[in-house]
Amino acid sequence: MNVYSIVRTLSIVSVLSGLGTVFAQDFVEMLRTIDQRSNFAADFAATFTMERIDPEAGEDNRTVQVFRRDEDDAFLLLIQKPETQLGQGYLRIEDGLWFYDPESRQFTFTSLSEAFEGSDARNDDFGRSSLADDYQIVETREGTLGRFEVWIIELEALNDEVPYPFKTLSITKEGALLLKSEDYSLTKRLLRTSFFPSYARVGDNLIADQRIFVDALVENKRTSFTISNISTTDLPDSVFTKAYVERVNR
Amino acid sequence: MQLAKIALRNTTRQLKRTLLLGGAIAFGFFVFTVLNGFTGGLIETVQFNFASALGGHIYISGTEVSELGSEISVIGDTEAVLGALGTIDQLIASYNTRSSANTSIIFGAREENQRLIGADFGQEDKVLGAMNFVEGTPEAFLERPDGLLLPQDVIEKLGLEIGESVIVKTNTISGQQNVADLVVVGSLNPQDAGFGITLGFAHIEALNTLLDMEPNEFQTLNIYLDDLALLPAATGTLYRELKNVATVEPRTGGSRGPNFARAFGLGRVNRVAEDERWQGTKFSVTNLEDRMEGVMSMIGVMENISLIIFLVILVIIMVGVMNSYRMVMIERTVEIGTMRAMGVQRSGIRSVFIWEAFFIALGGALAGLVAAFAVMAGLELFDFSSSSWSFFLKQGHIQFGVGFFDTVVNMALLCVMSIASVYLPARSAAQLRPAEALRASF
Repeated sequence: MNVYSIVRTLSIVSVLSGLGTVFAQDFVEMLRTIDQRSNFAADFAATFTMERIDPEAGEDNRTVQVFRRDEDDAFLLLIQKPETQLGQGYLRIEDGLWFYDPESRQFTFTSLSEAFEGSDARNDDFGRSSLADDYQIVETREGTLGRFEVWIIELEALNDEVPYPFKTLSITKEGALLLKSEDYSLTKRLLRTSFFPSYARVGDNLIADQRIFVDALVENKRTSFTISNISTTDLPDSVFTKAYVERVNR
Repeated sequence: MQLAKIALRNTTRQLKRTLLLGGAIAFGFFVFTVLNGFTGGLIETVQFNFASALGGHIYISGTEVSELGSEISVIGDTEAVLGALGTIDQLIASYNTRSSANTSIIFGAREENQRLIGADFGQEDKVLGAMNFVEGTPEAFLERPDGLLLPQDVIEKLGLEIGESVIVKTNTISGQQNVADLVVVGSLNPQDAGFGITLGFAHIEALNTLLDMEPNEFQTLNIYLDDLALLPAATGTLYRELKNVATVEPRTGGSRGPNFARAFGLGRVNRVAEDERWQGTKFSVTNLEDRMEGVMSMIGVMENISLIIFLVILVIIMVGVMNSYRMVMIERTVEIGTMRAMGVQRSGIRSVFIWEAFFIALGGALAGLVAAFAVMAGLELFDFSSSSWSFFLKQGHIQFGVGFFDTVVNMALLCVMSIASVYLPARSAAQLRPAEALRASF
């Protein structure tokens, strides 16, 4: 066996071992794990503090009280600050997503794919995670993100109703935590990059308590959320009703 | 006729009083004519703006149910709708197909929301020709399939130059995020860009690609009729014909609800309950009258207010006329006695008063009409383009619409009311006894 043969054999073994590692992973199961960890069997409530930086509009802050019931795919977002928007709410129930304006006292239908309060977050970002159901894996590879070794997974939507038809996720090899998501348009142009640098453990769940959404189209535009006061205490059924939204900040 | 001449001469005897009386009548008629002209013009302007913004007089939109049960705004069954047009072919002046989207236009670090209309400008050459280009030309727009026309104020806010490329972001018809690069080839006067609604324009193929629609699909088909009087009949025929070949939403009319939103391309992706889902395209047929229902109610209120103002002014004038002629009767008692002594009959005395009131009313109304026309013509010259009421303006100008028949009727009404108010003093004058009247001294 000459040197060339040794090098070739080692190379093949190295490549195969790498591929073996990739194939050894069940990436669908990984997505399912991410979904399960961030979805709650019980009810969920937390305070989201939003900080939006827009090169044109400047800085803008919001405090939003979030209530979620993943079992019914329902959520309620109630704006607490600024005072001028106190009482405005987004209610996701069976028949869709409704926006309530206490000034007009009217509910108007809105969409999950709409931007939340002009930020880089979509209304859909506040609901339950369904990566495993909504996307198929088209490519996987290894990579690093900062000091973390990650799996980079490219996803393609299985239906045409999810806001982002293509995604590229960076998931830590250790612990399978979603650190970064690149969200693409139908024409495969990067629209935004979402970072999840910190997680909080809530019972069996892991929830990203810091989320940063960076707009890829508008330079220097980004929105960050800090999540606090997390609670998994059961919420009354009435919370996820229009009547509650009308009443709560009257 | 001799009595009419005497009455006409009498109007000049107390010129100051005649001018004051006529002036009051003129003022009343002036106010009423201007208000009436304003509401009349408003109807025409809003009709024109609606028809231009929506691209026709009759609007057919369609929705389909996706595999996941969402309602999406698209006409996939184009054959059914184009086939139905044949039944009203002789009434159609032209028709066009459109798609539309609420978009974000991004240029560098700047972003502006903009409503875009995708149209086949081969079909809509008149619309393109009627646009008021600040920069660029219709020809340059037609040459570029990725061309975009934006209102001048949006171009200024974005800091754009003509010929530069922008990113256009919107949701597809099923709600997915999508972007495209389009080139700004022209800027439009904001008031003309959407005939009151600030619109941008793109070629329908380019917008369809962005909306994830097939090139031959569209969201609305709009029809211009030759004769607007045939609007209800044509809409009814079209509705019945479509109903024979496809699912059609009941015609409920009204300027609220999803049909109205869809005609403006503002429909959202809604969830359809399983037992309510349908196959293929479900059509909705609406027309200009449905769209203008809300505006027409508002204009109706304005018309009623102007009528009340006119009636109040009329009553005030009538009371003034009656009092004035009571004074006239007293002043002319001796003269009436003389006329009676010379053989003028009671009816003659009454006629002189009535003719006099008629001439003053007619003269006042004519003066008011002339003043109203002068003021309306003057106001039409002002450019209110920068105001936020552009939907009620025709290319930035107030339009007045005064109907000939209505004006004649109003003048006749004014004259009749003046005659009625002078009738009592005239009758009193006619009933004076000649001998007593001749003896009278005031």
